[in-house]
Amino acid sequence: MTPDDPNEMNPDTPDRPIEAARYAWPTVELDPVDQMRILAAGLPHAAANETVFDANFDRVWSFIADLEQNTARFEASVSRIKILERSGDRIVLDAKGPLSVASPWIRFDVVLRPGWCLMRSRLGEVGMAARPEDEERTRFFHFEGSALLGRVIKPLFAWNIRRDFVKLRKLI
Amino acid sequence: MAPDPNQKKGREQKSREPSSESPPPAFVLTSDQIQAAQSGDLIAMGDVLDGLMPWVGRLCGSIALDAGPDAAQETMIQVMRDLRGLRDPDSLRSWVRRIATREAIRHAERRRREPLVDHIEESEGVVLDPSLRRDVARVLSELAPDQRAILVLRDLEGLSEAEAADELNVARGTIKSRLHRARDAFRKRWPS
Repeated sequence: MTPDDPNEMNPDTPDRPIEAARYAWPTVELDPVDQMRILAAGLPHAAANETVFDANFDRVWSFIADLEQNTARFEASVSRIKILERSGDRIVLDAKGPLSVASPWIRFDVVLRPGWCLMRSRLGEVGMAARPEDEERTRFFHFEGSALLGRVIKPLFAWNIRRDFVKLRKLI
Repeated sequence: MAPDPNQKKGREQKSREPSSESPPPAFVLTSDQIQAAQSGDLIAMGDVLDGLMPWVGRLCGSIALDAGPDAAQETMIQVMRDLRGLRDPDSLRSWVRRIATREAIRHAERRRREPLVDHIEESEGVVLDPSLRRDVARVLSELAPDQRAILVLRDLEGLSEAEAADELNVARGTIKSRLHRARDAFRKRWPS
């Protein structure tokens, strides 16, 4: 990669070292928690919080990712979830509110990947992300909000997230 | 790009395989996706994040080096916070590049005296050509942040001198001389 005769090179044009090495230039990747923090920053109406669970990443995420079986166990505003469609990391599901019989079904569009879950309905937005903190612990980030209802209801979401953490700590 | 939860704790700096099959990250977002994200659609905001992140990671990693993760995160936070105010969705690329370049130079200046090579070696295992990666990292670490920025904008991003001058908010003549010095410095430090 070193030029045969550096004195012949014109410094005003890209040369072989720069061209040859262009794919080796440093790049940065952010983990799911860092990326979810970025998304939450773009949702001023949403409450966000994070915690560390004493369980490894696989255990935490296998619990979170089983939306039909487990979401209603820790999320008080949901009594049941039915997955309607699944294509790659995109899911369409219906969620029933806390009053099992009286609550209507609400449609959600979801993106679900390892360590990453976004849920959007006409009423609100939810994000969950996780990454290994070390071999035995997992950092978990969670936001909830409603663009429809705005910032007024943000403290309620903040309280709900803290309650989710308490329940998850017992379940995982 | 799906974030990888199994990467090591915190943010990391990596390099990609030097192969013709590993082109620089492409910018793949439609106007519809951008406009939906601007309206606050969470799924579209996630798509915009996915679409921008590899490219922003490369800009910030190449200019800010070990401060790249902080620069990338602050860049994307600004983008997500201010996306609604962007009048022309087609100008997203240049708008984000300007933020990323500014943040990368700012963070690089702040961390200028910290060592780089040891940090990069932590990401062993994801890199298929560590010697080339180390050579690039070492050479870049010996250049000033503004020299790395002009190399990234001209030689990796392919901007014209006028565009690079606009991006860095300096005169065109300054760009020309800065680029000349940066290329010369890169070449002189490249291992023989």
